[in-house]
Amino acid sequence: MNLQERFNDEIYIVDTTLRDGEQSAGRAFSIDEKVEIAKYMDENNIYQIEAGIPVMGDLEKECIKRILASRKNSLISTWNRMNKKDIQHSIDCKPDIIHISVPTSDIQIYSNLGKDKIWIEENLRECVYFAKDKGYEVTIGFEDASRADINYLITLCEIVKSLDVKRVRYADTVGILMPSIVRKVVKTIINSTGIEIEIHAHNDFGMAIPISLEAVKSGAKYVDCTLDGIGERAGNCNLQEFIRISDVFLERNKKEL
Amino acid sequence: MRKRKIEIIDKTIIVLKEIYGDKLKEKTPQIQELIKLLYIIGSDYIEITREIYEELSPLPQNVRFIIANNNNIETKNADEFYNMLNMKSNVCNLKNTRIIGLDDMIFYDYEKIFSKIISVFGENIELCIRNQYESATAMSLEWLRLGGKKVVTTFAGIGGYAPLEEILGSLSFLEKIKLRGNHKLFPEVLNTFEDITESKLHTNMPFIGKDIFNVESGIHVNGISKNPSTYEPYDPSTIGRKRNIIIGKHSGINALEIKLRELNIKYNSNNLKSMLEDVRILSTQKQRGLNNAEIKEIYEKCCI
Repeated sequence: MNLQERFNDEIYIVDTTLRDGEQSAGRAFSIDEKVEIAKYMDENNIYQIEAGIPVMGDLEKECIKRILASRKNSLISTWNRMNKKDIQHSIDCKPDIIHISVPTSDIQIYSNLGKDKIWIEENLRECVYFAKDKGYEVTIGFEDASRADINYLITLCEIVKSLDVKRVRYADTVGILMPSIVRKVVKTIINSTGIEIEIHAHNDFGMAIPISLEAVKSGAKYVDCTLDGIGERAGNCNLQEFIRISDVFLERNKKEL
Repeated sequence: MRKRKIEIIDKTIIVLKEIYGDKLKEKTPQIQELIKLLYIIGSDYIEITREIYEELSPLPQNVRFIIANNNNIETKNADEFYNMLNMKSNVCNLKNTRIIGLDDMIFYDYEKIFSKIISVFGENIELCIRNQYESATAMSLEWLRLGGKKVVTTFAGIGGYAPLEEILGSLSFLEKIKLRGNHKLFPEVLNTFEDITESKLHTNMPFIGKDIFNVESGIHVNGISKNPSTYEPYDPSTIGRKRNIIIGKHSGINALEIKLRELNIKYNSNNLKSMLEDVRILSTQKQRGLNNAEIKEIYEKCCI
């Protein structure tokens, strides 16, 4: 008896070991190490490698350029805050995808940034246009989406869709989701907007893997992971474990279909 | 905070005995201490066997114990179990039963299966979900959300069960359920547990990892300095930890200023940018965050 509803039978892994993973406090990869990790991901056909944050400086940019020069299979993306300066540094590296992170919860918009939603929407449009105008594929990260109003996320999806963005990252920035909650929000966003979802889970409550798997069951196509689950606080979704578990899940459903 | 009748049955002591056997006899005082701590942090019952009862007697006072029985239903496959429940109605006659396993519950429509379990056995049945697919915490919490009342745990998930600290922390901080236990003693439980097992747990484990409230990223330090809730899911002090700012490759000006003030260094703001560049270079070279002596050295080079 197959108890599943529709889901994607292929899961696209976005490895963020070199960006969010390295943000784990006290961890700093050398350039050679980062290039080596990217090579390993590339050889193992990881769909996308989030290679770093170009605005951090010349060392980071040099590293991203080396990763781009040596990759054969994976798409290479760079992470940016929502401003043109960050994006210009990314453009200097010529990545495959420019990822722009957008604060979405009230605490991030009003308390942390000291801005409002109109400012967010205007800057979002400008930044996406800035990167798209130069021919780049853009993905959008909804920072702190799990504490944001779902209707506001839908509004932002509509804005970026109108600018030809196909994928948004639903970031559980402080790791507070549960499977039954992620199921509802992922389904709501997909049913309301048709946009592709990338799930970005944190492990603060020990649930990054089941949250990611439940998101896939609910229609998310992309899953963010890091090697050994490294990352801020209790880390991110563990790459090796997620692949092991999702392989069993996909295999079992294949048999049942 | 809501009040709800939930029972957490912790079987850490049984699992330790299964793993370490007679070696544990040398650690009797530490085991006695661990039992007290597991109870104080929020376990409702400490599960032991008759053998453990005899070995450890007299048991610590003011702790509720239960003796393990063999009235268990073991099932790894949740889907098969669901089908079995649909076909056989006689299982509902089983009283005081524990269901062990259901490892792959996350693969299926767990809400439907949990509802079926409640309709067959009632909400008082104990669920001991195993962690083969890293979902024991998530599925135990979903079980409690759907009306289940009893779950089985072990500290740090030893033996492949739902980690006690994750269940306690999630019930408090996510579900806002008022629990009896004192989570500030998590570090003390960790120390006692590591003393008994003579091994160190990963430093990023949820709730008990020593490093989970270390923070380095410029964006995060900046946000936390304005309002800790921006990048922390709960207050570190509620689990007996402190936030610790690490200066390294991902630090920003704001973090550097906070650290310099912590070190009582009177800095000139004009020098911070060049200091930060040196911090990033040295941190990348050393492949780690910098210690206070290294930060002072950079300050002296850039500012004196």
